[in-house]
Amino acid sequence: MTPGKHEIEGRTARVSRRNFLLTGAAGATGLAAAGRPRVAWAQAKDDARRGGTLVVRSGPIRGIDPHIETWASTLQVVHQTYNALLRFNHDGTKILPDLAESWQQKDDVTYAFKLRQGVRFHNVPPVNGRELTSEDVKYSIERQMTNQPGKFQHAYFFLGKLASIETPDKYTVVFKTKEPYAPFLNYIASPWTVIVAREVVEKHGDLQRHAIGTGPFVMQDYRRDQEAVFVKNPNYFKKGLPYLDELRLQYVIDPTAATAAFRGQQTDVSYLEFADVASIKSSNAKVNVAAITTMFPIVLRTRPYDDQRPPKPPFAEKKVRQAIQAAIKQEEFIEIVRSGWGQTMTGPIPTYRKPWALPASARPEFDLKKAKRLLTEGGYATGFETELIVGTPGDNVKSAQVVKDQLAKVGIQVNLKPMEMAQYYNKSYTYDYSMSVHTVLTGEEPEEAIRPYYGAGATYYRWGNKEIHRLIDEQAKILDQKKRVEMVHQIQRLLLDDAPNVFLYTPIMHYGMQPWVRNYTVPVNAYDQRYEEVWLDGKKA
Amino acid sequence: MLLFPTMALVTLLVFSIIRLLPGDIVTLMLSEQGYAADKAQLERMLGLDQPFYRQYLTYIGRVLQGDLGVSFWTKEPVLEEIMRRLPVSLELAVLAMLVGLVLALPAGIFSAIRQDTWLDYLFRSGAIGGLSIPGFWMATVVIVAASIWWQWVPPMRYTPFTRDPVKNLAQLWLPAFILGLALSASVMRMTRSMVLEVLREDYVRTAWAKGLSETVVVTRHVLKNAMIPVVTVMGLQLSTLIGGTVIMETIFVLPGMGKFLLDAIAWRDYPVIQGINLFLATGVIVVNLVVDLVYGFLDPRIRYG
Repeated sequence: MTPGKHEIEGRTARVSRRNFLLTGAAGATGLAAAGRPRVAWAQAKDDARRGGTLVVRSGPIRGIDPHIETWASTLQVVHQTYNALLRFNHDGTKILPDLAESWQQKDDVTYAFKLRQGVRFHNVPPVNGRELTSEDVKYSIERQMTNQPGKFQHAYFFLGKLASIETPDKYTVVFKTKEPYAPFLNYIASPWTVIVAREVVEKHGDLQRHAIGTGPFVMQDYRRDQEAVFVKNPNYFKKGLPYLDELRLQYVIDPTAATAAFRGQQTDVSYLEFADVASIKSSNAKVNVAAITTMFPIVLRTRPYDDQRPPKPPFAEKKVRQAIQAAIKQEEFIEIVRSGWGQTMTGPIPTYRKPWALPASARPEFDLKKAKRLLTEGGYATGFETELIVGTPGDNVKSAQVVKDQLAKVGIQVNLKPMEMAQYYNKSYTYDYSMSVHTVLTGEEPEEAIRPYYGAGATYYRWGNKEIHRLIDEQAKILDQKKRVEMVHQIQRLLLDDAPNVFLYTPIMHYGMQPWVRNYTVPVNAYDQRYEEVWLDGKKA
Repeated sequence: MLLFPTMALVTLLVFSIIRLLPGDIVTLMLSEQGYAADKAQLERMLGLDQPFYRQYLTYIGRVLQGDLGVSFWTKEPVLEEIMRRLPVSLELAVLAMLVGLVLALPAGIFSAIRQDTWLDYLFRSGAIGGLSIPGFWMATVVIVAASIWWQWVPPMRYTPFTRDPVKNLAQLWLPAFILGLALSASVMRMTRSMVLEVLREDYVRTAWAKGLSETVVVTRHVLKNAMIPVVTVMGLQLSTLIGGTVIMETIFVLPGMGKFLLDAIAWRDYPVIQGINLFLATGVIVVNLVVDLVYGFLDPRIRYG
């Protein structure tokens, strides 16, 4: 994504027709009036009905502060109550305007944003519907990059990267980065980089229990282990939105209970276990189920190393790691662990994340003979014994069993050590293990799949390959998208060759929607969930 | 008088055990961040850099002033959070207890006085079933079967009893019934064997000989004397009941203490774990006290003081 291209996209964003007609979105001059791709049951906007309550099953939640938390269930609250300067379209391939009506990259390090005028915060104390200004943007970005360990989880987006944030007038914000910073716009468009009001933070200390922003819904009640209730924001800046009068996020943790609630029509939208999908479809053919790739791939890790922790045999030997890679057959994981609901991977970036993911041809071959040969060359002709840690409960335990079976075929005896999540994280983040099966987090910004794992000073994992560190630092400075893609591909190929991790699969998740839920575009990563355009038909409305 | 040493011991045990568990909160908190951060600073922020005994003494000092601290994760006051959830768990436990008693006492007494009849066999088989079927399994089956066959599930949205008793009970009766069922099994068996034992006592034969009706013999002479072990069993069952509520609260989406505790343990939220355990320990001690007092009422020979 070159900056130049973004500038054009900002002005000619392919917003949906209704958006265009209703908001006359200032950036939409010369607009290509094509609707965005929608799921099959989406209907024309003209017959959209207003009113009703949408009930969505949501998952475990700890708090709702967008600058602190990282959970998908937090994002479900954040999306309804706040806006960011920019946002991604539903498949993460384009950046669209949100609070900013246009933006421009003036040079390699300067980005200027023009805000929409007349955007108001929710009409509740302490903001009481006051207008959003450039000062709020500055405040929010500065708050997000607060350097406080263990607290502001998204600080790394901009911490140490920005030279200045200036607000020449009420509706203009100018960012200067210290050096060319390619991920800049992606992080500005991140659903976590939302604009909050200083008064709310000052009144409540943080935003863990209060969500007061500019978004389509006003939070009325929030009980962490029960529900979050929202009502329509009558002054929402996207005129005519939202359609719903009320929105309720119901926190149902137990998957059995969640499925039952969906069957009993107590929830309108719900994440479903793949095992339940067939029976739900067969008992009610009108229910819509969307299958979506997630942004949480599953990887098999070998022992981390860095300057403080030198590599240890047998994993110190590159040929051994390559042998493990050659002995792993991704399809078997998808079949056994997910009953077919998963996607193979070509590298650390999930395959649907184009153009950043490597092409299918790059995928390491499954070849037992090659694996055995590599093991012999690496000095382990008869194999070896090792330990694999995995957190319980969940699919990863099953994946670990498949790893054990597959590696046994080349003589590597894997002893499984399943452990409770807290203990697992403890081992994982002190880099104290031989092997592990781990769920990793990626993002719209491609480097999120590589930097926190293989970059210099990464904490999720440690891999001391200095050349890879250098390239990861380099790619972030390349503003030309084509060149940057090339380098990101190169890094991924290096990682496949060095084989610290074997990429197993990306799970596909299911979202069930009752027949009366209309116009809900489930985002490609199942992460970014907005209900401002959803409406209810028939029974519910 | 054993109250205070017991409490001190409980707090000390909980305080040390959770700190001994593998997996510490500092690593957990830092683990969410993709980039290296300062572990020592976070420890200082959470007060975990202090030596163990200092941490404990500070904690006890605060508890004595009614301050249970704030959650490491949410920063919300623990006492406030517990007080919000306590009514839900308490109501569920009380209802389950009621269900248990209503089912167990008549069944136990009937089984005993109609020993070896088909009714006795029926109740006893039922009780064995109740003992052997775990509550979580029963709850899962009930909720899944009802949703598949009748598209029915108990309401998921919690309504406090004070706001709307009907809605509240509509949500709570099922988990209370399932919990009560398991509870009733052991209480029923204990009632039956105690009633049988007492029925063989001399004074009962005397009562029969006086020509008293069955109702009078059973309620006035047998039941009261048979009840002491039954009350003991019920007191002991209470701790099982608390374990059961954790699962029921998860399956039936009830905002009680059980779920709260489970999450806190998973996330190593020390102040929350300590706070809830303090409450639970107090609860168990109080129940035992009540049980002891009830003994005195049931058997006037037992005197305190």
